Amino acid sequence: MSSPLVWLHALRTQCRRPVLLSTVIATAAGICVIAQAALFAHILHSVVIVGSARELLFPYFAALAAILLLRAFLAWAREICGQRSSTLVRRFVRQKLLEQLTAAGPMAVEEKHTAPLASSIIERVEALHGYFAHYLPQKTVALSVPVLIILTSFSVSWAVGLIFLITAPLIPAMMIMIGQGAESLSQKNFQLLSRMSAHFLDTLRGLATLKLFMRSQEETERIASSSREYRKGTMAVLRVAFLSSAVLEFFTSVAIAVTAVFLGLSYLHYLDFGLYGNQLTLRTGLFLLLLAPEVYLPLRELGTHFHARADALGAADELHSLLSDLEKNPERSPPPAMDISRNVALQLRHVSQHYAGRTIPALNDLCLSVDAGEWLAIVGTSGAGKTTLLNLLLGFLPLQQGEIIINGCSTISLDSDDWHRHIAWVPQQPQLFFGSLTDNIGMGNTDISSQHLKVAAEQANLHPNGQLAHGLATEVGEQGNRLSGGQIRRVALARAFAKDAPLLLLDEPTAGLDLENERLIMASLERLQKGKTVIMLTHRLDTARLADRIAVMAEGMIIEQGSHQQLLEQKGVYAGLVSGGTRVMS
Amino acid sequence: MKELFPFIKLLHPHRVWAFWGVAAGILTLLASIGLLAVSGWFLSASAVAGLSLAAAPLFNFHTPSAGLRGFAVLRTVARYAERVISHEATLRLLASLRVWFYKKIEPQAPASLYRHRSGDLLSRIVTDIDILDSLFVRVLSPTIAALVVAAAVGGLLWWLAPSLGLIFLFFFVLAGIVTPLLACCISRRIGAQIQKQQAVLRSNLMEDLQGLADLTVYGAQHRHRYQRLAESDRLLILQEKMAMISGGSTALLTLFGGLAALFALYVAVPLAQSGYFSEPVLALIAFGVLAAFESIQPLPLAYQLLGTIQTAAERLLEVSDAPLAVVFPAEPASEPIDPAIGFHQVSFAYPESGGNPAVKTVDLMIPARSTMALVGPSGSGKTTLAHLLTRFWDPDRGSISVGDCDLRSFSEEQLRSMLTMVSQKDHIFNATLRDNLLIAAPHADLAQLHEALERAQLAEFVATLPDGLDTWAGESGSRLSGGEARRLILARALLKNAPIWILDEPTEGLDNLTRRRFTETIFANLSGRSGLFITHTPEALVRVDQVCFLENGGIVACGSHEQLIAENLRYRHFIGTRQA
Repeated sequence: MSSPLVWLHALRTQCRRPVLLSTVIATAAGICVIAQAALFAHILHSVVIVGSARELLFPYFAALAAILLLRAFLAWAREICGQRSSTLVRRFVRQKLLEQLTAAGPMAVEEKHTAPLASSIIERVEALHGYFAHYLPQKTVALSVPVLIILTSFSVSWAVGLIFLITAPLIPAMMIMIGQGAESLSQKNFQLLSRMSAHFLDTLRGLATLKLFMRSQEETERIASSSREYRKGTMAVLRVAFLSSAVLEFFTSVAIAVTAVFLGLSYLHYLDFGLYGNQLTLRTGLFLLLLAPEVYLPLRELGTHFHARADALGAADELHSLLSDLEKNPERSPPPAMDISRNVALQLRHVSQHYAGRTIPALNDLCLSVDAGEWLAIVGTSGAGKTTLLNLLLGFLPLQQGEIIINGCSTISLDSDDWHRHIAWVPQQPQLFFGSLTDNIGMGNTDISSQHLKVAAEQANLHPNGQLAHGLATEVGEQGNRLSGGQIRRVALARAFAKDAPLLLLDEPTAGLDLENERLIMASLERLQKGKTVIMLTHRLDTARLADRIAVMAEGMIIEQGSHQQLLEQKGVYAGLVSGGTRVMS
Repeated sequence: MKELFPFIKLLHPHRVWAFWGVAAGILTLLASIGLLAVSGWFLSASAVAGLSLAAAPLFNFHTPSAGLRGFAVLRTVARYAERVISHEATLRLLASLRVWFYKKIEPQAPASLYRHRSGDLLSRIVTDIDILDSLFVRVLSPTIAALVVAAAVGGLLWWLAPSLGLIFLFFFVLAGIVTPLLACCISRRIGAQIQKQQAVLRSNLMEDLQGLADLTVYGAQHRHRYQRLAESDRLLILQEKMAMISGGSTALLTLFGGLAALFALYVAVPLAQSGYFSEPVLALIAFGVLAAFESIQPLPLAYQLLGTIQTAAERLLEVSDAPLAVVFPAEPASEPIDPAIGFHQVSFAYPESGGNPAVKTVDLMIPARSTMALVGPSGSGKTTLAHLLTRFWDPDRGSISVGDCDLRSFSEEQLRSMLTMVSQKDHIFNATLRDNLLIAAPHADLAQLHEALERAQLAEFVATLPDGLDTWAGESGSRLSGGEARRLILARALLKNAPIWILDEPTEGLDNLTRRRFTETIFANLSGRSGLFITHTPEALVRVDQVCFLENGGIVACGSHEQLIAENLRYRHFIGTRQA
């Protein structure tokens, strides 16, 4: 497995051209800086030493203005190139994350929690920006421009060239040393930040509950203390990180001071070396002095982008491990195309499922068959394995042991678009998406006509007697929060009507609803199930008895099955549940 | 700018840190100007002196070289101090911002939570507050420092020759104020768009992640993925536009800094030649001006950020300054004589419903220590009545009383301690089971916790957990099954056990047997307490003292369950499907 750093480096292939262009532009700007220094030095020399009149120097003033304009243009072009490289990389990473999350499926996403995932996809990817926009091009510039300037100064004075040459390489060495310490601290900082954001969300979600228990004001203290913790963590990182900029500052200042003193003493004839035997003119001296800060400027700029590198590495660590976690889900070869023309008959043979870290299997050698067009209800107490069975049928869980047979063909995995095309599902807690009812019923499928959607909504009793002011154009709000629980359930039912798939999976279709809603939903279920294979999980016995057959689950197995009447006559667990006797269950 | 004042005020407790941060910043800038200007002058002066062999040995180079060393060290130390101190100030400000926002939003809850999309609310708090924290370090502090430097350098040049001072100030204003303001004006709209786009992306992403199962089964997962990607692309394009503006202002800054030095030199040359000041001072002027423009470097970014900061401030204020849905008196009223509940001609419409009433002139009486069930289809106003009793909202018309006292006369603490509520929306915190229970009774001991668990029939489950009460509940109780979560909520309510209970469909999501036991526990506990029970389970309906049947926000009939079954056809029909 490759490291986060390798992963970050590999991303460079996404932005090679803009980074290269940005480097070339910055190097050109470095040449402009040298020219600018030469022009300033020449003008000052001519005035101070030669005593030239201003008019004679006019061409030099004009050339200086032109150079300044060119520098301005290059600075602008550089910024755009940098942004472009960051755009390319961030787009690529986001695309990859979304792709893999979709491929990994709902169970993997549920495990990771939505808020941290969303912040990975948004903030962590944003954190890559500085590295690719600024740090990466600057890394080359921090070498090319100082080398250019040092060579230039060597051509004039080897002594000054030597001052630059000795001080300049010390800087990156120091920075690397300091930077490494900052890196591990910065990662801790990220953890703190993400924990704090999760804590905030949790607090906001529970604000009503906190209020009811008179605890919402105490929460202020918790927020203050977590912010305090974050501040301390961050400052520990920053105090170290700022040391690197202090080092740069120090070398720049010292180099300027040493150069000035060396040159000054040379003018005053105290020193006489380092100029290849030439006379030191003011032009040469000022030129070298003006170059002194410019040697270190690219390195200083690199230093200001150093935190961008730390940010990116922290983000890379998280993104890389997220991506490799998602990849761990075994690459499942798509199951052979299923023969599902109109009906689905389903058979499960000796299916067992274990969850990691649990001793008791969720499904234990379960055998079950459902005929085409049959309505099967599965009842059982919570924890009996109903939900695991459902997730298996939905293809969200890989089959661990046993066999699933669809219309006579054995299959090992149901995780395929082909299978999903043939099922409709009404979950216990349907998720609605910001948009209109129409969007939520058709799920954006353009193949479904608006007439069909309307019929589906009617069939699902979505708005009897025009309950909704704007009909199907009604906005549902975030996660459907403008609708009641019953309405949300009926939207999910309308989805199933609109899809019209041969296999219908129902998870507690009436739980959490009042009788009126239950009546509406059961009435439309009766219509929906016609000609379909239906598997319904429920603990409502009066809902279960509508089915053709009832299977009772306990401890991951089917322990009884038959019609309502048959099961009552058996006087087994089901009969016990109906009479509400504690004898059977305890 | 006005919207920033409340946030600048938050800086007040941290003013010592802020002051030293700015002071160190100014010192850094002045030291680096001094370093370059003095070395320029020193070179020129010594070059002139060196021309005559007689003058050279007389030239005092000790003072300027000591000055150079001093400036070099000062610059280093001041820079480091400035960084550390101003970030300390910023992080302290950040903590104040968080607490301030929470304190503002807390009294509004939960009414405010219905108004804003919660994903959006999260993004507001985290992102907007993070943005606002840069108000000091990236806007206020560099602006003050630049102004001080402008005054110092401008003053010095003015003293040399007023025309030089004017040239410097002209370009300084052009680069430091005109350019950033221009950039700010252009980028403000884009900055706001970026934040909106980010908020949209986030809340849609959260929905997609939470609903990936639904999307996958209905084959919409790829469509939604492309939509999110398109939203991200829109964000990236906006950021590129922003980069063009910020790149432009950086470019202008380089240009104006250079031009200022160039023009100053152009004007100063004849002045020096006419003996106004000595010629080596020309180098001091040119180098000093070049160095002084360093102080403007952070300004374009600062003002570009200002647009973003203002938008963030506006949005935070919009949320925090929203009128309170309810206001509690500070002083508690006299304790009510008994927990009898009365609704008197109560009407209420949700603010965003466009005046469509959720409850219409409802009259209800629940005598002390008796129970009432509210029955009716969803949307009939049952939960609204419960929420009015908890004062999440106040009725638009009519009043609610407890033991002859108006509900509005109680202090918040008094009211909360009177009520226990168990509802579908009760939140389980991502904390341990113990912490979740302790919310109800912070000082409860282990025996009390176990008793509550026992009564809620959760003790057995907790005993099987390896970590027992220290087991984490997960995000919104995700590590618990639906039934376990309900029982945890019940255990929490039992720990509080106030004289009035409000139960909003507490047994939903439970299997038959657990539901019956659950109902059993509730009724055993309700004896001697008043209860408002939203339910439709027959075993609960037969046990309450009164049943009130609601439809469309109004009362259809009230009476005992048997009475209503016998006398009311609609009630019979509504309940009827359940009777064997």
